[in-house]
Amino acid sequence: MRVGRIEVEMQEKAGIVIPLDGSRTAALAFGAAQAVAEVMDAVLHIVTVTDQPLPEPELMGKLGIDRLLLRDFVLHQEPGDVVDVVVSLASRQNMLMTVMSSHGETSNHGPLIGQIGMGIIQRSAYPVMVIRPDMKKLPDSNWRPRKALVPLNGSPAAAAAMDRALQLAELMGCEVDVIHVAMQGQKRPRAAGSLTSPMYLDYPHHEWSAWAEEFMARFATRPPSVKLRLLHREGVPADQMIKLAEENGEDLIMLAWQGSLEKGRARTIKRILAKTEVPLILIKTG
Amino acid sequence: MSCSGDSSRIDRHPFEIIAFDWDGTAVKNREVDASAVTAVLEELLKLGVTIAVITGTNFNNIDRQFSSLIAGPHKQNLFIGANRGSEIYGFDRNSVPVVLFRREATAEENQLLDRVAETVKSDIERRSRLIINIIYDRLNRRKIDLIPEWENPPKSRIGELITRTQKRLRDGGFKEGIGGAFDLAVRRSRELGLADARITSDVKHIEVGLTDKSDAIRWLVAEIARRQDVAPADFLLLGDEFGPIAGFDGSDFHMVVAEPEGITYVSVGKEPNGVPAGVLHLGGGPACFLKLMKRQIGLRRRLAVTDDPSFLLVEEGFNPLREREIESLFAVSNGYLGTRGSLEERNRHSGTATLIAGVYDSDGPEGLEQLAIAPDWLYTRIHVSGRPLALNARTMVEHERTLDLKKGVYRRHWRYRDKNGRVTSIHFLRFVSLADPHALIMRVSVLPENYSATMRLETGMSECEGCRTPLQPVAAKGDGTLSLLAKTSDGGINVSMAQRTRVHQESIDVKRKVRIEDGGVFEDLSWQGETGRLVTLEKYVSVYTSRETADPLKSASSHVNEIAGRGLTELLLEHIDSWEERWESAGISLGGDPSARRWLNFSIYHLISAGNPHDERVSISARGLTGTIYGGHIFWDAEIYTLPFFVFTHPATARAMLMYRYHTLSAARKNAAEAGYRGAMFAWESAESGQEMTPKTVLSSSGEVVPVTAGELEDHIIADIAYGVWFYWNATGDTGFLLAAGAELLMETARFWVSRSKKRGDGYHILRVEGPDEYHDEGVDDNFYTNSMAAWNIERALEAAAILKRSHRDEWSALSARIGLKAGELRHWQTLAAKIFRGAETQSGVIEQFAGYFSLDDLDIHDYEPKTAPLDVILGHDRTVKTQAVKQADVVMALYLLERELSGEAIRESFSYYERRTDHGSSLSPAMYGLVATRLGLMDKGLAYFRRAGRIDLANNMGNAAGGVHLAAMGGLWQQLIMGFAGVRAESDCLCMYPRLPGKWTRLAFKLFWHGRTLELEIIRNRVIRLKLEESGEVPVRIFGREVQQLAAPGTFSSEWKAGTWGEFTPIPGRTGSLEGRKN
Repeated sequence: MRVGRIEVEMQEKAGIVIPLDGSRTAALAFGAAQAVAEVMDAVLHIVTVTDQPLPEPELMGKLGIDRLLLRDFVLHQEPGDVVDVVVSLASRQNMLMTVMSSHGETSNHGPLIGQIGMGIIQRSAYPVMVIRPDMKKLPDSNWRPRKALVPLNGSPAAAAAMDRALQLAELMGCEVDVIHVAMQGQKRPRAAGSLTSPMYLDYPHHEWSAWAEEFMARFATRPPSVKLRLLHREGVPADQMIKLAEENGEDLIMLAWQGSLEKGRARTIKRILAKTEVPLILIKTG
Repeated sequence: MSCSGDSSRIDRHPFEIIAFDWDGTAVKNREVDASAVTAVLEELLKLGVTIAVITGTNFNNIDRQFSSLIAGPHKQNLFIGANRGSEIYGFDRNSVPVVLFRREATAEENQLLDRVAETVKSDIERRSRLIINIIYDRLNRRKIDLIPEWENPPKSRIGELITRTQKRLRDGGFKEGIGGAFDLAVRRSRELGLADARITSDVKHIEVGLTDKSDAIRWLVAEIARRQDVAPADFLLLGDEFGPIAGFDGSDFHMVVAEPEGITYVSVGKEPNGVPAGVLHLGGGPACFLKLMKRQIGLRRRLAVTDDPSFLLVEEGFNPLREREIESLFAVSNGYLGTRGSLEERNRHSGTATLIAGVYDSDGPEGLEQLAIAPDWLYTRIHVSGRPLALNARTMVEHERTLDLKKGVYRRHWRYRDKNGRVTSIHFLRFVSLADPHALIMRVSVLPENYSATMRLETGMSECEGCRTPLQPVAAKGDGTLSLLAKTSDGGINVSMAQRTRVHQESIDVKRKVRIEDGGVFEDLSWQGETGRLVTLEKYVSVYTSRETADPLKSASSHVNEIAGRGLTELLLEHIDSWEERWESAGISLGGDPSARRWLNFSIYHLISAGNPHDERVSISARGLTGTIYGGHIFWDAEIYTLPFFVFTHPATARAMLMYRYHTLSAARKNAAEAGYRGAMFAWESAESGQEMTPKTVLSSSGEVVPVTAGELEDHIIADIAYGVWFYWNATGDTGFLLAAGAELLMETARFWVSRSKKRGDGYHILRVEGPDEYHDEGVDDNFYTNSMAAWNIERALEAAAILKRSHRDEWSALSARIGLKAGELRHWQTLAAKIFRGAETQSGVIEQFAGYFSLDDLDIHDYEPKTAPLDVILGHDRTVKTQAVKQADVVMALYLLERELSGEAIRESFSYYERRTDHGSSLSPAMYGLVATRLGLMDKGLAYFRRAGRIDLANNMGNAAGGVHLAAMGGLWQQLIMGFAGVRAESDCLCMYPRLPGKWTRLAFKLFWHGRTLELEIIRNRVIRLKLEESGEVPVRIFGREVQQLAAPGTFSSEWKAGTWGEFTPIPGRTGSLEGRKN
């Protein structure tokens, strides 16, 4: 069942999905969702899963949303499994991203991400922006991301994610700082087509510009209209990224991942999820 | 018996289709053993040649003697035209014969044939006492036997057969003889209604039939030549009876067809009455035939892809991420011009570029010179039903690129399937001629596999879009020859390209249209494509610049017509011959390590491709002509890394490289004067003018402006150039070069060092420099490498001066005057050189890299392994500069270049010390460490470095070859092999060697040029060195650690491995031949 302003052109416009369960924790992501919908000129799709749909004013009240602040939105009240409903909606062709809090109503705040949140990020083929509820400064509807930090691991699998990241940044009007973290004890990716930092810098003043050109050629489908900087750091990737985000005033971090947070995997994502003070966009590869 | 006529025209042309009569041409008769000729013909089949037997007899006779001996997929290229043109047999993929064509006579036609034969028989018998036989059981024909008593007369007795048959007929009362019988058959056929009767005779028989051999030829033309797009000029037809016999046409004359013109006809028969016009008479019978076929094999092998996989670079599929890397690795170049291995149709992943050595442009009045990017001559796009074919994963059925390193030929095979299931197969071939540097050649073959549609192929020359320094097209013409004139942005250099295209098959109706646009000139060729019908286009492009000619447009247009007239095959053969010649002197034979062979072949290919012996105004830039990174700038890499390869394998190229430095001397003198020094201060990065091309600052990836110190501080390049001069002189003894340029280069570089050195106390010091180790880039004092090379430079200048004074007094006087040498100047040099500080050593003999190096923070580089980036990226510049971390061979480079000046202890201890502190953050480093390790006998370490150096471009996960291949690393790899594993040293009084091969290597063989002669070396690990000397006279050679031996040439000598070392060379008696070839 849908309420709100349903117009044909709205269905054709790009969309941002935000799942809300009526909890205060889930609603903490609403500001960021509104902001990115605004800046990306997208319709905000507010999803709540219920067997007993409510009239719009009542639902808005329950979700803690002030209707007057919204420009284009669609309210979705659907029965069924929350993850199924959200992933299904987010998979529509014109959806850009899901924005959600890492935790919702029933969540145990112990894990890095709640059970429903976990289901959504694992099953979404499209990017998911995760807002940590205990961030010192939560984005509100006036939030305008200016700088995004994107790590480069150089593997071919990450190429598609990088392309998506640059497109999102362009839509949000962000500059992009691409960071490559060289880490002692880390082997180069073996896959054909990998591109990390150049292993040989015969004459660095020529090599770096050539490397930057090659980077763009490999990882950007087309030259993005965003300003791009390439940065290098040494150390543990997650720590370096959090540190750099803080030092450089980054507004968000975008990360490629393979869809699994099992024990022993995705250490960087887990570490960033635990500590980040800026929204994190997860872009699935493969 | 061999061919009696001149077969050179046949021997130079590789034919695509070879058709021939069997009996008397390929074999003496149908009873002989045909295994020898079968083996030769089978080899041709394997090499892709279409073979067709055209015979009067039936298929089984030919199959029994010939085709049944052949099996395999290549047999699909074999056809048997049997029964005098009535049947064509082919073979399926299982080598099973299949009938492709059969003329089936109707019952009426058979009756008619019987009636004609019987009427002729009756006519003759009625007018004579003769008995004439008819042979009925032949397909579509009847044989009237004029001499039944002589069964199966051999062809070798044709004269006797004519005499006896004529005698029989005339003695029996048929006075008109054989000719009369033939005429009778013609007349009766016409009278009885057999309108298109084919009357032939082999003297014994008059044959009346519905077909003859011309039907088989016409079938081959229509079905094979047309489908395979074989031009008539590539069709060879051989027989033994073209000329008239006993007054009527020879049986093979029926193979001569009016259309198409241009087929080559050859007779190997005796032809007592001569041959018709247009038939080349060679005689010689089957022996000549065999010889001709063997020569075709030779030609085919030269044109075919090299069969040694270590000479093949193959890329299957399409990985867009690697595309620019692939383009660098697959570049084709001839030193004058290089073209990256880009897709002909281009796509968004392409970094297409054609670079011409010496054609630099600048991006503004203050801009630095960069190699300009010439118009893209590859551009070729295929359209099916109006839609262009584009390579992507969705439409790609097959895609494979092959670079034949041995022959310098690039091939690409692409099968494309559109959404309607239509499959198009496309083959590309390209090369830039090593024999004719201005000739660029491409061939494209298009085959609609399962559809018919309108095809369009657009091909031309277009401006490089999106390039940093493209040449700007300023004029284009398209009247038969397409031409394009482009200029550098400063208008300094004009480049002209001219194009001609040629469609292989004249029978196809191709419509041509020329398009001239702002960015280039193009030709559109359209035709109606048919299922299974191949169409091949040859594209000839010629390039000239205003550097070589006053009117490049005219030169290119004239040249392109000349090369198009000669044809692709001839140009390709010349190109391949040139490559073969280069590999003959530069090839390496290495047993026991196929991977190493491949790395070496890849490196040698790109080194040969980069060198230009014809132009003294260019040298070899860091990435050669394979990529745009470094803008074509020339560094110390040229003299220290790549020059030795050319000195030993192609001295003319080495000389041209050094002459480039000589021609930039005036700029080097100016640089020195501006910096407050004397002599010649060569630029760290040099282009056309020789002025400094190193930027002062660069914008870092993070947007910061970072100073670049190399141009100001890396003065060691001046001594490096002097090193190159002396190395060349030592190895070649080229006095002409020494007098014309070498001595002046040595003197002026020495003079620079004298002015650059500062006196402190009793010694001289060189302050504020940057050695090869660029991690310490803020200016160091008394860098050991720089100081030692500077002192060595001065000493070699003094030695050159002594040579000139002693043996060339006039030239010495002229040189002294030219460079303004003052009295007493040389004495001062001598004093100074002896007092230049050569570095501190620890008690154990470790040489300090520069003053204060030992007091920097120590680290062990191995503690940081593995890592994904150079150490200065990991630690950061500010931290790195405070440590003993070394970027690349610095002291260790001196351990190699100045080995004779250093103690064994200093070499051993210093290598060990710096090896633990060197990051190899430059591709120039691993091979040099490997070389010194090898000379120290650290074979495992040496091999590990060799492997690392060999994989710099060939590993598929590095990503740093996109801007071009690493030529210095390639030169380093070659030096590690020759100077390291073979232990070769070019000394002033001899060639020295001390081979040590790693455990897995069994044999190493190579050639070196030494003082104008070729030395051939073969090393069997820990057993023997064999040295073959050509020419005459004595050659001074020594085993390292032993006295010089004067070996008398010509001769072959050996040194044996005994008691853990190599013994002296001793002659091998009676050994004059080559050293067992180049077997791996």
